[in-house]
Amino acid sequence: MDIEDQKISGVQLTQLMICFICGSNILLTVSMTVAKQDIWLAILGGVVESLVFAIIYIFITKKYPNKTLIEINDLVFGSFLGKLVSTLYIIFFFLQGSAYLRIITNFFKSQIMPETPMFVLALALLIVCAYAVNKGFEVISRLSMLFLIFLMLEVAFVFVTGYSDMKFKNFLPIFDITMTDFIKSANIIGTTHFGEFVVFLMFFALLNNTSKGKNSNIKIYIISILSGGAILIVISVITIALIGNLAPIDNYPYFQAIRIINVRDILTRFEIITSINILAMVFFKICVYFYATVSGIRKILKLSSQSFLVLPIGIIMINTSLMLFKNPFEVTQFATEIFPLYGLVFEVLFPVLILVITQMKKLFVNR
Amino acid sequence: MKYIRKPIKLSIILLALFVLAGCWNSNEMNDLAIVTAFGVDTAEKPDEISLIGQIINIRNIATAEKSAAGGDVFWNVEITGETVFDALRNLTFINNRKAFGHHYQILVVGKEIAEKGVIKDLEHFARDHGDRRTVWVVVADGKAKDVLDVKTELEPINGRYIAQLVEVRTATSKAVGVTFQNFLQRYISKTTSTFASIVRVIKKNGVESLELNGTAVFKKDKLVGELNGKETRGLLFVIDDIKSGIIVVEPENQGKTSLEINKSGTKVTPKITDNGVQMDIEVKLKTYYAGDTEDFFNVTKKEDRELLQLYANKVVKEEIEAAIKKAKSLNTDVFGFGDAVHRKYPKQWKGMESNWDSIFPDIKVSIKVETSIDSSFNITELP
Repeated sequence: MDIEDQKISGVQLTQLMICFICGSNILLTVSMTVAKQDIWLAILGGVVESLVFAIIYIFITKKYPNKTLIEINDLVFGSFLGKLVSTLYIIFFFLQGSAYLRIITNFFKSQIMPETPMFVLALALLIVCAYAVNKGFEVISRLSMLFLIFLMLEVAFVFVTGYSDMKFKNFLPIFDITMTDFIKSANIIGTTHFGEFVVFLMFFALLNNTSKGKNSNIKIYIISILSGGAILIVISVITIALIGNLAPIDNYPYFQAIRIINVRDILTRFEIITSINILAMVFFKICVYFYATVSGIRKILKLSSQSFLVLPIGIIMINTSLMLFKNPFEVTQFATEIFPLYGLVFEVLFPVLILVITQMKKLFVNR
Repeated sequence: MKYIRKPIKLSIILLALFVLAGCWNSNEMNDLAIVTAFGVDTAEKPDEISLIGQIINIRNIATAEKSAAGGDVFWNVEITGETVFDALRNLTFINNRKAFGHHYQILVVGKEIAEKGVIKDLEHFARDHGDRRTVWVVVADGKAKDVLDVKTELEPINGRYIAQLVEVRTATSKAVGVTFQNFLQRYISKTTSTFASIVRVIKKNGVESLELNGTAVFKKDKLVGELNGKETRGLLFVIDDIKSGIIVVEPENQGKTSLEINKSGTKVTPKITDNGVQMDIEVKLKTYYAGDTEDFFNVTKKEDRELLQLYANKVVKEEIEAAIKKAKSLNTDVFGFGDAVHRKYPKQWKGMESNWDSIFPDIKVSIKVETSIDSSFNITELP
């Protein structure tokens, strides 16, 4: 069977989508600086916002169950405009993948391996990503289950071992932020953690026939958003309960929170396990974006195979990731100020346009 | 093709073995200067600071454990610099290895620098990726160097000794154990004042030793005063950080007797009334009767138990009152009353936050203590 025709089941896609949400955990600090101890409320707000986004995606996937985003664009906008929009999307996916590669490189560079060159860190991760992308989408989504279990075990373990150090009064007073700050932080979470789901419009066509039931896409979206949001809330609760008012000033608050867990001097310093989890989750994020870029290029140029694209695009991705931002501060600035608006163009504007144009076409054809 | 693949794969795996076995920058044991304690002091020049790194002398550790005659187990390196990090790197001028600070256990702050304001000198330790915030912060009564220079018994490494002194504080609860994390959290909170234990050098018959005694209280990041042992326990009762300790009660016309704290829980409830802010402090105490008395109490009898409980309540109440009185006179909200009000009355808090300094000394406090005696250890009554 050709790699490009691999089919996946709905369960696998759901797992991958949950992993995809958790991949943004490393960016939790961005909204935490705004929302402080009310971060869990902001996450709830983000979940609600993303459910609104999901309605759009659900309608699109229902209208075009066997088409990828590239093909939908061609159908909706016509072949020239459609190609243009698709190109923009591919650039968006590519840049997002590069940005996440940079974010995880920054994390490892600043927290774990300060003297290793960034290029080496990026290369090491991207080789694995390229291998996974080359093996196909089914491999990535199957792998996600393994790491999802690992993540859940880790979070549960941290919760149990850190329970004695947790102070739940850190959450009081509830809703101590202004409405603007709340909307701002909820929007950051909605767009970065959940809004990036737009990339999965590329993959719903890969669902196998048994999973293409009547409402399977609704189920997939709702389950993955809710369980991803639940994991996010647990992680932010652990963070705030453990380090309280230090969380908004930390670059990697969850990581810092785990560093202080100490069970009778026997179980200490297991933050490295967390870092492996963070790495694994971001790995899925990069893989999904990488695969979307590669398969998007294949679809747009109507190529028969995509495996020869993986290496060149991977190499460009490494270099882009190193050039995209001058320093980690720019990443934070990008995530706080630019992405919540820039992302909305791809996450909401184009999908809504697709829906509106589809409906209008239907009206005119019916007449 | 089929036959070539296997050897290629195998050779790649074998090659990977060499690459993956080590980290990029390996730290070998014999290239490291492992630091167990850092001290911060004022330097002779006013715009410089002096840093003391206590480095373990690995070569002498093995001999020191066998006999006391071995060389020094630790080596205190003192160096000045314009900032803490500058001084830390300047260490390499006089020490042949780069200081490896990942495992230090204690931060000693000199009294002089604490009075000037200490957060600018401690910030580096919060920022550096290798440092942990679980280290203990203590204030030296005098120079940090003097405290770190003392040769200690039982545990030859001075830094570990101080850390263990802090760890066993729970036996009396008359000293605080403040991790760097707690220190920072209290500092960041706008109204709460931070504090740390005081370590003193005591001289007896020409032999120096260390003593953990009292609590240093900071206003923002400046040392402003001290709490003694009794006041410290009062403070710990309010912030609910009592693990154990002995309460000595002295009923009227009768001798002293002691109760051991088994468990203690405190609830602090703020109230905003017409006359200002009031804090209701409720302490629930579980103790064991530990005897040590000439007038033998029979704690199996209800009357004796109640008498002792009454006096224990009084002692705890006095301790809390003493702590509050001292904190009010220093105008330092060490108890986190401001945060408690913030949690309960977020709306009213907005007006109070900026002038908390004028509100805090006038806070009314009502203290309720409830003691119970749950055990009398091995014997019931000495006739």
